[in-house]
Formats: sequence, C-alpha cells, structure tokens
Amino acid sequence: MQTSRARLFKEYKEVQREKGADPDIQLVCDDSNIFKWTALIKGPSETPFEGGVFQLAFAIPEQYPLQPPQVRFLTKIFHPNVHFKTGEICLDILKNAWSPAWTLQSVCRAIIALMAHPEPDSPLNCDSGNLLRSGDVRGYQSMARMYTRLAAMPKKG
Amino acid sequence: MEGEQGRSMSESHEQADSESFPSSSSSSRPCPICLSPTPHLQESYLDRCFHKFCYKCIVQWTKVVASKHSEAPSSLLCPFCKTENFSIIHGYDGSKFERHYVGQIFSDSVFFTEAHWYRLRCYYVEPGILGDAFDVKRFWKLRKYLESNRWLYSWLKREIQALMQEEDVDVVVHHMLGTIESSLRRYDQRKLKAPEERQMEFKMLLLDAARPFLTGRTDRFVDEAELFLASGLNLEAYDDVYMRGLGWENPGIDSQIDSLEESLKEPTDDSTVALQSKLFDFDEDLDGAQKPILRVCQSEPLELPRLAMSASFLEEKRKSYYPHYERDYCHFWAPIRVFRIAFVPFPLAKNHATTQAKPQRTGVTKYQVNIL
Repeated sequence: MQTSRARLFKEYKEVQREKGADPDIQLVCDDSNIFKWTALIKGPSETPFEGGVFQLAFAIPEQYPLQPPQVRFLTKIFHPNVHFKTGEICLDILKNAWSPAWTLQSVCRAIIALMAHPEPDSPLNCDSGNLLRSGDVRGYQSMARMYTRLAAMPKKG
Repeated sequence: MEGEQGRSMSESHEQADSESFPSSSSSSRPCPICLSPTPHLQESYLDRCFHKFCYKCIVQWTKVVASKHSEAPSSLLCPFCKTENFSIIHGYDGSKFERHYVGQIFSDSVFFTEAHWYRLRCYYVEPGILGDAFDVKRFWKLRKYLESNRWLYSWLKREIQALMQEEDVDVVVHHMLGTIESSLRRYDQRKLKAPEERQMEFKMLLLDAARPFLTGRTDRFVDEAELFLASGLNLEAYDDVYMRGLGWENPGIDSQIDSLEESLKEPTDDSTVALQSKLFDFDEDLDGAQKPILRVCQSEPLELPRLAMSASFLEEKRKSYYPHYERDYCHFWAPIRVFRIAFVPFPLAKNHATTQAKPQRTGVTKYQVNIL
C-alpha cells in the first residue's frame, strides 16, 4: 500500500514535470484518490481514430506496480481489442505480460500503439474483429471513423 | 502510417524510459520498480543485463512471478528489457558480493522474507557484538527463564527457516522448543544449582538437539537462542535492538514498528515523552536480585507530572497497539535503546524508590518505570 502510494506519487510528479512533453497524452490524477487516474489520449494520425480524443479510466490496485493497473475506455470506441460496451481493453501488458517497469504514461503509449495496430485475432469486439479478419479494411475503417466522430469528437454547431 | 506508431511495445517502452529520465547516468537512474533512488546497501543487479534494482523491489517482483507459476522458475525476465536472468547480484561492496539464484532461493520464496535474510546475515557477523544489548547473566541469575516466552516459537521458526532455508521446519522447531522448555523447566526443581551451571546445561542440551539439523551453525544458533530468551522481547523489538546493536539500518521488516516508533516520537516536542536520561538515574544500590528501576531524579521533583503524563500517554499507546496484551508493559523506542515500560499502578509500586520522590498532586496514576 505504502510502496504503491509512493510510486504513484513519483509518477504524479513526473507527469507534472513533463506536462506537455507528449501532446498526445494528458494524464490526470483524481483530486482525492491517487489510485484513480484518468487520461485523455489523441487518436493516432492516419488511423480511423484520428482527430478523436479518448478518455481512459485507470483503477490502480494496491499491489501496484507488482500488479498492472486496470484500464478501460470511457469513450466509446470501435476497435477489435476493446469491448464495445464496457471499454475493457485486451492488451497483453495489462495482463500477463505486465512488468513493473511500465508506468501509467507508458501504458498510455502502449494503448495508442494498440489503436494503430489492432490484433483482430484476439478480439473483444467480434464485429470489429470479423471485419478485419475477413479483409474488409474499408468497412472496419468507416465504422471506426463513424464512432470516432460520434463519440470522440466535440459536437459541432 | 506505420512509421510513427509502428514501434513494437518494447521499443516504445525504451523510449518511455529515456524520456522519463533524460541524461541520467546509469548509476543514478532510479529503480524502475519503485522509481526511487536505490539506497546504497539495497543495490542489486541482474546477472545478464545488469539492470539495477532495489534488492527489495526485485525480490518482491520475483515472488510475484514465482507465484504465477506452479513450479518455481529458474530464471527471471528483466522487468526492464525482458532479458532472461538467472541470478541477482546483491550487496556488492567493492570486493565481494552475494549472488542469489532465482531458482534456488526463490523456490521457497513465499516464506523466505526480508526478515529471514536479515537473520541469516546476522550469522555472518562476529558473535559477541551484541553482548551489551541483552543481559544474559541477569537472565540466568534472576531465573528469568521461569517466565514462559510466548514469542519463542515464532522466533525459532523464523531462525530455523532462515538457517535451513526450508519452509517446512515444524518438526525441527517443535523438537527444539521441547528441548528448551523441558530443560528450562527442569531447572525449576534444582534451584540450588549455580546460574553458570544451569546455563551450561541448557546450552549442552540445545547443542545436542540442534546439531543434526544446523551442523556448522549450531554453536552460534545456541548463543542466539540464549540472547533472544534473555532479551525477553517480542520479535519486532528484538530485531530492532539487534539491528541497532549491529549498526544496521532496519530494512523495514515491519513497517508497523516504524509507525509505532513514529507515533511515539511525535509528541517529543512538547516533552511529553520526557524519558530522557536526565529525568532518571539508575538505581545502582539495588540488589541484583531486584529489577533495576529507573526512577525520577530527586533533584527534579517538578518533573513528576511530566513522567506521569508520559506514562499515561504510553499506556494509551499500549492500549491502542496491544489491546490484548496480557503483560502490563509496552516497549518504548528511545533513540539509544529500547526501554520496557512497565505499568505498575501507584499503590503497588509503593516499596520502590520511585514513590519516595514526592507525593502525587496530580490525579494521574503513577507508574513505575522499569528499564529493560
């Protein structure tokens, strides 16, 4: 408990110090609870998620960093490895490939990389996975872009 | 499209690292697990990739990894670069180091805690350094061994686990426990023997009992067991005194103790805990058969309420920390050594020198303070 708190505090300071160093990621700690964080990440360019801003919720276990943080999308996203309803993310480093050397910031980077490179063979969103597995890249991209417009972009007008 | 984001996970990870700690040389780089600078004595390295971690951190991580496998793994992937490593290099002081093989040491890592390490390391220091910390002679002279020591079992278990590096030592522990208790109880019936004789007899018995299991370390073990019995302390307090005696830093074996210590230190600014030596002097006149009593200096009678305050404060602490404590004292950590504060209500303490100081004006129960 103490070690996780100390480590999160270090990360918090690092985030404060490096503010703006990575324009794609904005990590914010909950005002009252250092075990709850949210992040805003920009959809990577040249993907259907470009231009969207996605919100992630981090729930950090007491055994952190020995246990990985639980991360999910709060913003709806059409992606093979993200559960469409719950926002749960299927990413090896958040499960069995976790290493305590990862930080919340680097987890965000990994998620951005996952957005650019979906793994349709271990889908949480079968519709999205099936589109890609059947080779319908165009169908996948248009669906993903539509949901990005609907959910991840500020409404115009 | 592939260019910017197309890095593999590990690459983006490397990048994360170099961004977080720019221009830091490898020696000042914080431990990747706790992100804090590694204390000098805690430094440890993996044998292949030479990435540096706090010993505590990497051991903890190894345990987590081991707990995920049904069989103890013989290697550990570096959390940083995923290189396969087989041992942890630890305690490098310029000329020598310790090497802990992942498979050997951590096969039973679930039980082998930092406290076990510390005990094992105690066997590598010269004996007798702690001669002053615990009064072994008094233990035998005053027949302290007649009091049963409720912590003996846990102490024995940890000690034997540390020495044998095995988890299941129950049989050995019970054997030793039986030997110790029966030999101590036997003395009860032969009160006429000299303390030295009893001590010898106890040692011989325990030596015989322990030799088959501990071989080369038996003699030292018997001395350590005697020291522990003589201390009359519980495990945490004993560890604390022991490490102070050796000049080691407490590696945070029990954070509860630290917090206890902290909470006891807190009010020192208003001198509530006025247990500084100037308030007391040792009652040298007392016969050895009696417990030495710390008493309030006669020349400073005004300090009495402060003592009373400190005692009631300590009792409050005791209640909150040891609600089920049967024995009426608590351990008090002073900067120099551990005091055992006995809480003897005023009327019972009548015979002792403490009561002669001044009549009580405060309504607070007066306490006799026994130094350990």
